Amino acid sequence: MPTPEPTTPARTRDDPGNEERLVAGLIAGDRSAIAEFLERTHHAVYGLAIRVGGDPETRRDWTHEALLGLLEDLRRGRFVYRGPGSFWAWFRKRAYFRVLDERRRCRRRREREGHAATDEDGDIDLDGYAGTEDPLRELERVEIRAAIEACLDKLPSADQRRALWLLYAEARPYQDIADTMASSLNTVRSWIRRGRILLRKCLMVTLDLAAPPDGLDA
Amino acid sequence: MEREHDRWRELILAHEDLGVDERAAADDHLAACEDCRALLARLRELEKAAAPRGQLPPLDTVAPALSPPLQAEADASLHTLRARLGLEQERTAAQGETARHSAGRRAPLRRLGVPLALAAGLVFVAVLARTDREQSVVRGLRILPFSADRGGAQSTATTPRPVWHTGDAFVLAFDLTTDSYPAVFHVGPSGEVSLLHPMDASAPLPRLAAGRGRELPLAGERSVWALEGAPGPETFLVAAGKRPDPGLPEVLADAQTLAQTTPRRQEVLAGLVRLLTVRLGPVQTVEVEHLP
Repeated sequence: MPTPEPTTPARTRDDPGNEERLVAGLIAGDRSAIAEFLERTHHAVYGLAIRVGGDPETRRDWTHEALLGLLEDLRRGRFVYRGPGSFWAWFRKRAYFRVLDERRRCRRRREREGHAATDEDGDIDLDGYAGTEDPLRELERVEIRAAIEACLDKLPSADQRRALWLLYAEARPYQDIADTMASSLNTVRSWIRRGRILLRKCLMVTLDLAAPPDGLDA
Repeated sequence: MEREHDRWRELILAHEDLGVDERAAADDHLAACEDCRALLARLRELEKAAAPRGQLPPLDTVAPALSPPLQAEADASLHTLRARLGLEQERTAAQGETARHSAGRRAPLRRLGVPLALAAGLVFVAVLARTDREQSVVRGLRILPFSADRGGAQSTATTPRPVWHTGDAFVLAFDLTTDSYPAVFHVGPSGEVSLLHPMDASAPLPRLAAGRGRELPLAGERSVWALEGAPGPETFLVAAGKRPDPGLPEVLADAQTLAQTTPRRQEVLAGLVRLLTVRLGPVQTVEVEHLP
């Protein structure tokens, strides 16, 4: 078995050109960009995985899945470069969600497979990551966010998915979304309208929201 | 009556996107329907509150906070991830290249340069092959005729068939080196992509125990796989991951988008292999020629 070599994440601040080039490389699947990205981010993500519980193998899995998920987010157009610092700001929030979401998936899987709860299930320390936020409330937000993303993934059209993602996750105005997707404003409005109806129907089922008795059923 | 309900449902769920007239009608309905108002408010509240508040600290503050044992653990994890993506081998290759260049500059060793380079190349290929074998959970993938009297884990179908025709039913057989969650994709003659197992991309994958002669579809499943549609090459891809929810809906959606936008079947295949490798791990493929 090969011995792992010690690694140290890069500590120097990015110049804007490097950041933009890195993002472009990651979106294009450039392997040297992926290698640089992992080198710079892995330990930060691993640090959070340590704080949210699990044995070494589990936190390694969470870290890997979170980083691979981030690469997939980029490839699927879930980040749009908006100037210096925007990528790292997005990364810090998105990686945080990804790790907590991995923890959520892991617990769900164990529940499905009939495993009993362990002490580690309640062991989560977000101090320094989520400020003074109540960790349980934060986990509830992760749960809702995951439901929204799962429903977005079920939309039949890639255009609907992307437009709604930019609207919900990036809070982008309609005109911005149209520019980003190189489409007309009316087309984007139509994607969002049709997609939003399907998304909300899916959420009503997933989150078990009561339908009104007058026929507003999912 | 039902159509009327559908109309209100669509208007209320798309409330933010309505034009002036539709909005006025929807508002009138909402004013009279307390449950509808409550539902719309709840959906908006959920959508608004969905983003977690926290974030990672700045990247340059993390490494010093890890104790030496955790730093070593993190280093090992990064090494494994690079290996999983094939980046470790590239780094090794780059290092080997550098070493060969250095060797080439040393005059006393110049005459041995070519044999040494060849030897280094052979060793490198051997290491790569070994690494691939180690990482692959699925081994010996083959396509076999379906036998209707399958009763247990072992199929009665064992003989590979050289020629396949439309309507022939088949199973995929393989060995698993560890308990895992295999998924099966299919790329048809025109590059069309479909998911064979599980039948529903959003359903959790069933776990298969390690062992020889594992088969899909599972013996207890109602589905029978058979060659259909236009003849041509049929490729089946199997990858097995460590989790039942590896993100198959995303893989399927991306692969189908790729199939719609890429005319070349080989590119679709290569793209699907990349997607599966990242989400589940190394991919095994088997291809048969489908005749009319």
